[in-house]
Amino acid sequence: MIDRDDAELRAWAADWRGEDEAAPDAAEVRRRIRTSSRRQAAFTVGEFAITVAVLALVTWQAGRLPAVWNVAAMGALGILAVAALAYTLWNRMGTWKPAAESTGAHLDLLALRLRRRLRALHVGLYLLAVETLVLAGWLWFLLGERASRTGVPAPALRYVTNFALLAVWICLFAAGCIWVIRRTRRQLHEVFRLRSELGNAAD
Amino acid sequence: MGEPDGRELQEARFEQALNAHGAALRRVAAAYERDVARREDLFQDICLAIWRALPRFRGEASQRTFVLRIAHNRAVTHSTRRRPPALELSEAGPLADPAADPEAEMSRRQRHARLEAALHRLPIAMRQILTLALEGLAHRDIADVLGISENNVAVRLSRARDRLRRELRQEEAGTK
Repeated sequence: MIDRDDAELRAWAADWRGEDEAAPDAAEVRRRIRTSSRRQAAFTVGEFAITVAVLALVTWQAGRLPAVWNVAAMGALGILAVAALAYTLWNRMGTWKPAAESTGAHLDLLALRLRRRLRALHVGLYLLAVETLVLAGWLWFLLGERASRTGVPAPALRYVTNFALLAVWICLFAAGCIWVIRRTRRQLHEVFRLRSELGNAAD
Repeated sequence: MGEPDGRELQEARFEQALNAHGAALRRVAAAYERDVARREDLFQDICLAIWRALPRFRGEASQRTFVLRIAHNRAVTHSTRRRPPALELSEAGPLADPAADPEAEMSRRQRHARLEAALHRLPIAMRQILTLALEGLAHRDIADVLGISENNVAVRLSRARDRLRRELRQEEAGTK
């Protein structure tokens, strides 16, 4: 409560608060809340949907060609997809708490979330490296198998094109991860700065 | 007519909170974000966080303290995501009162803009404690929002006021 004798703070409060602004349009706010909730639900479902789609794709591909190298590569990709989802869910444990914490507690939670995000991104890059090796080996065998089936060796251009497409996709994914890692590190640095500012201000 | 269900109750509580504290929530957004479009996004984020948190409100503090705590936390998160833009006097202030004397209204808007610009120059810890005090929160409630002792609130508020006074003087000197 503002001290009755404190004219300065009262004058600032009057300037700051001014005339009471019009109440926000509750219907518009609710509409945006619904949109945001749907987007978050879609994101959660999307994570599971992507894993299910990858599993369906690798099962289909393994069934198409029952060679050991094909089944082994598809099995490895399926296991990696499930492991990535399991890791994502495990990594999020303990990072959800009510929003109505004190600012200090909120910043600590924010720092934890950002550190977990960094950890997930690093694991994502390691998984990408393993998937790249599996996919490159699989592609090599696939092109060789086609050549032995048709009796015509695959032209060098086909090897180059396929591996180049794989490389482009991997580079894009890795670049995206690195960009998010840098942004997350910046945000984490800012959280630590604020945390220390709040701590020092209390001295 | 049947009993209102959980969703209807939540919507009614939310609407009541928004009507009671909407203007204060907009001011929190204004204290943390100078860009008008991003300020609106921040306000919507704050509303979303309050919508989610309201079902857990058990009346341990006043509803005003509860929503302001959520708003400040959300705004702090927002401010860690991006670098602040270059400082300039904001065009957006409280809505003009059409019945008021135009000259007095203009002067009030200028004072509001100067205060907002000066607040934006303060470190977040000072800005936070000042905006909570300007909303009329008691030291006990500010301590509750920030997670510090009431004595600390008094010390920090005093330092923040000194700094705001200096910033306002500079702001005034700059606009003359």
